[in-house]
Amino acid sequence: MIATAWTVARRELAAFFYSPIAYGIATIVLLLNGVFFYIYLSHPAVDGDLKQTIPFFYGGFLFYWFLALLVPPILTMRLFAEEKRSGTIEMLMTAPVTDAAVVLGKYAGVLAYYAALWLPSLLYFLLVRALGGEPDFGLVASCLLGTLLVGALFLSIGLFASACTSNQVLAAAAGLVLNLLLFFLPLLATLAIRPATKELLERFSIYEIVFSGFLTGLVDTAHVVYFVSLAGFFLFLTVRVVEARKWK
Amino acid sequence: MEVKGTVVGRRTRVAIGANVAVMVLLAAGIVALANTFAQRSFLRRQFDWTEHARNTLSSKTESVVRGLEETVECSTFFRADDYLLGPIQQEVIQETEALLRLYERANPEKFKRKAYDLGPEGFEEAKAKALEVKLTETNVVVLRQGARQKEVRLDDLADIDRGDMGMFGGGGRGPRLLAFKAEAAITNALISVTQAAERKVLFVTGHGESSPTDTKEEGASRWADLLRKDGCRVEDLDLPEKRAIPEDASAVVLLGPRRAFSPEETRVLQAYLDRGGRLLLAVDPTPRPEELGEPTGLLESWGIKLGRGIACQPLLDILTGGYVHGTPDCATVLARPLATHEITRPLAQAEIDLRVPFSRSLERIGTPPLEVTTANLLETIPGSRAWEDLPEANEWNFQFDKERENESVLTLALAAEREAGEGTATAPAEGGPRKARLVVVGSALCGTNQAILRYGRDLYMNGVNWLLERTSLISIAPKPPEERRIDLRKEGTKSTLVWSCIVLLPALVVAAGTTVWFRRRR
Repeated sequence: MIATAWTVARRELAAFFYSPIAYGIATIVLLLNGVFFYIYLSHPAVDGDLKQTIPFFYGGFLFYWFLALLVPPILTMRLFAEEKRSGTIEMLMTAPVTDAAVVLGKYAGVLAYYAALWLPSLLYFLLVRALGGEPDFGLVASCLLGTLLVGALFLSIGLFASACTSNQVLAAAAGLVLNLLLFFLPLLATLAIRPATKELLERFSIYEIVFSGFLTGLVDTAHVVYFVSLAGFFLFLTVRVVEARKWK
Repeated sequence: MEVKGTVVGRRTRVAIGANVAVMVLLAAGIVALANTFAQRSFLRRQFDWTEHARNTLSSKTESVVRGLEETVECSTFFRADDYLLGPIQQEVIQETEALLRLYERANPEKFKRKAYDLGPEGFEEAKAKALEVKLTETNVVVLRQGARQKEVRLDDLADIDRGDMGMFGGGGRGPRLLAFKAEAAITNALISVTQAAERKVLFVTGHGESSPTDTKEEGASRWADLLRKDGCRVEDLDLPEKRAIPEDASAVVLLGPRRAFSPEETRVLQAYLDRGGRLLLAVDPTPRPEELGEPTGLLESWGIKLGRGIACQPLLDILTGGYVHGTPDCATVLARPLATHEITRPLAQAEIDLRVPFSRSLERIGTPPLEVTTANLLETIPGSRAWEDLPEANEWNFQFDKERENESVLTLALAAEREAGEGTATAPAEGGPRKARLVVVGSALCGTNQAILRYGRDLYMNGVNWLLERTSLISIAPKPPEERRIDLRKEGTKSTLVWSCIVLLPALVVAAGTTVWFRRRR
């Protein structure tokens, strides 16, 4: 299964890099990242302080969450929905590959592309170092790991939404709504009457996990398990949805 | 036409649907189980990836927090709107909150943290909690276990250079963070709240002293409250009636005696000190030393003498540049805490000068007795004088002689220590021979309800803690502030950043995309 999943992943990744839309998305993301990195760094209250800039850039500010919530559904929307609309899904399903391998392959491909969107941010800090600053690369690594895990979860949700429909726009909208729902759990927490419920919801708040964990340079196995297990759960659901076509 | 074996029947579909539903529920259960186990401390691991291990507690703190047997409630009441220290204060608050999260992670079952929002949204909740813990100021961490609590204040969390405003032609220097020492302060507070035995502090009464039960302006109920919150049991002791100091007294306070002590009472106090007792004596400028009777003699055996008169300083008139004399305000003097003693070292390091109202000066008599170690705690800034003509009917005759008194400095508080004699009093806190300790302050007014929170709190609370040997239960090295800054004012830095991050990187992607597009067209 791993070998076939790898083949599918390479095919998906190649499709991304042959698609002008993927380059368009990458340009917009890099441009916005560059602009906001410079804005954070040169803000009078920060004044070049890298201790503040790094956490700001990777999740301490609204802009990051705008990208983190919006980009994954856009990347995943076509993965199954487009194949369903064009009918190529039938070819894929009749090919000698398992449903799980198809799902895993597509997921790995989109995850690799998502990582490629964020990895250039490392260059910002290398540049800062070359200009005489001293960024804490341990902190940068922890923040990047947090970004990849958040992306892994939201991409799995987007993939699930894409498998549920043949309409790309609907897939993106559904993915976004699910992401928002998961992200805004702390709002539900403030409405929860029982303190125990409130505490539980707060403990699994994505923002709180990222803010108090990865952005401080602390990598917690409980946080990693949270993102990996939830992403695994949505991939499992995706496999079941893809599989369901056979029984209709 | 339905072909058997290729098209699924309705019943089969229902069965498959039920099967999928069960599998989904099972998967959800596995996810919930995995997360529940991952949260358990025996499986949970945390890795600090920062270069200087900023997220790692010292082994001493780890053992204290993990060893908690009962729940400790940690409440923070921070506000970041101090305009003088703005960003610095904000940094200290953020670092402290991050540090407290580490304490919570080390033992989430027993260390319960809650940050109270002092803004409009959380004000009511914060107010209710503040009343419950009898909060007297903001920017504090309150640790509480049962009825015992301890406050850690901003000055305990960090050493801050408050800078220089540069008002009179100087360039000025902004405030900066010198060292972050919150871990030592919070862990010591945690030990005080959870482990340290309750100490009994007795306030002597019977000679017109301020009483811990008196809530009027001249009473000492506020100070007594502060001591109770600090884990002390506070009681009063009517010395003329009891004529003895109980064996379980950890420290004795004499706050503003106004009448003479009988020779027997003085002998009781002397015997208590000889047994390794701990005494804080605060005496206002009135009555005169000779009117107080024997306590003066008691001090002389320690090489200390009460000075005469009221410590006064001329006030600088900003408009004329001259001095203002002869007003009651001249008797509120500016004094510098000395870094040479544990009591005043934290204040000196934080560069906090104290205002001391209505104080007498203290003197050391020649060479102190051999066995006594004496240290000045508080000295006025140069240009002070003990004015011996006590004011009558609010007429202040104080005149400042610039030629004569420009350099004169008065001592307002002293601390002394000596080996105990035979038959020591209560056992020392941490083994070793017990020493008798004495703190003498020239202003009792600072300890009363009308002035303790405004003027005397640091001096008196640190003084009692020194008497009780509680200045520092464990020592953890403060963390130097981590400077990770890029100088954006350096020529070319900003333009390099803009061109590289905003122009070059996106342009490379556009170039790559265009190349791919052209190749595929061919």
